[in-house]
Amino acid sequence: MKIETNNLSEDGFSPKELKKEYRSLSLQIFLGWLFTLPLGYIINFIFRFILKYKIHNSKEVKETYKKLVTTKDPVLLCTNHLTMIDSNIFIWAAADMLFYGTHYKKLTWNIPAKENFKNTITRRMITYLGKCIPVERAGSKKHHDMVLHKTIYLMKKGHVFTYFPEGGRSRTARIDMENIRYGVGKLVSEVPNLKAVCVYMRGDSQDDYSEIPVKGETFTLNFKEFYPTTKHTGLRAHRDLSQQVMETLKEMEDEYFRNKAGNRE
Amino acid sequence: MNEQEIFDKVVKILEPYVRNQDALTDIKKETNIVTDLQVNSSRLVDIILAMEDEFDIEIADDEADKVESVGAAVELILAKG
Repeated sequence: MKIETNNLSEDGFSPKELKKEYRSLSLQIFLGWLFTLPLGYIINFIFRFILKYKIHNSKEVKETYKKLVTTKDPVLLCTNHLTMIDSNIFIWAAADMLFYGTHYKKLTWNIPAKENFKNTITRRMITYLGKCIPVERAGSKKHHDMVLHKTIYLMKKGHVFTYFPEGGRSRTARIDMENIRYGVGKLVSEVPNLKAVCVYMRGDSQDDYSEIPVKGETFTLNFKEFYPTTKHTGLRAHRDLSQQVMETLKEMEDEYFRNKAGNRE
Repeated sequence: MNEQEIFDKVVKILEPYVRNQDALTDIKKETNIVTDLQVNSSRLVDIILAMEDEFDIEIADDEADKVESVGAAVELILAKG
């Protein structure tokens, strides 16, 4: 069988492969949108009434998020990572379900590590309908390239994505510059005019990483936006851009703790 | 620069990133950087860039992806020489 190499995309995928993936994404988007309100209200019920989570300045957080993502430029949310449900809490905190229902592209996608989730039907359904593109950390280069390709494809169409620059939950419970992943820099370098929105989210009593925050937790969410640029190319660009994001998160964390100490006095 | 000198320089580049310090005592060409030396895979980019700087070479992304062992790193550098 002759392989038509001259029709391969820059990252080595055939038009047939890409068409299949794009169709699959379109279906995922449509089904996810259909389930936005019912799933959203279930999650809202769990977070508000069972786990009793609260958000400091909730109205302001929602207004800020809407302003930040209502833009023609692709938006990448770069967030600190302390628990397994940070993304869910963020989505719940950042906007109400009606906003997501009418602005579905602004309900952020996530790229969770498949290894962290048991492969049950429930989990697969939730990740599918919840706008996730699971990545196998130990997966092949082709798999990783496809995850990146889909991410870039969707971002260029105006979809918001969340990326954890630390890779996993911080074992020190603080921004860990030693654990920086350069995937965020790669993404920034591949998507033109990308706006990075750093998000620092922390519960008042969160001193350590955990599966989920304690019941009754109240969260602070802070945002900082910027357009990362670099004079470097290739891997050096990925590293430089990733470091800019991490340094911004570190500054936000320092400011958070300064404010916390100031409030105590 | 001969192969042994390159090998020694590569080991020196790897050292700060190695979490399994015991594996350094018996490091060979076959030693896998991530599984044997327990280098954080996120740090492979830093190692590649350090090799570029040390040996004044350029390593393409697809070449970097193939550097899994110490020997592979040495061979790549020799090929660029």
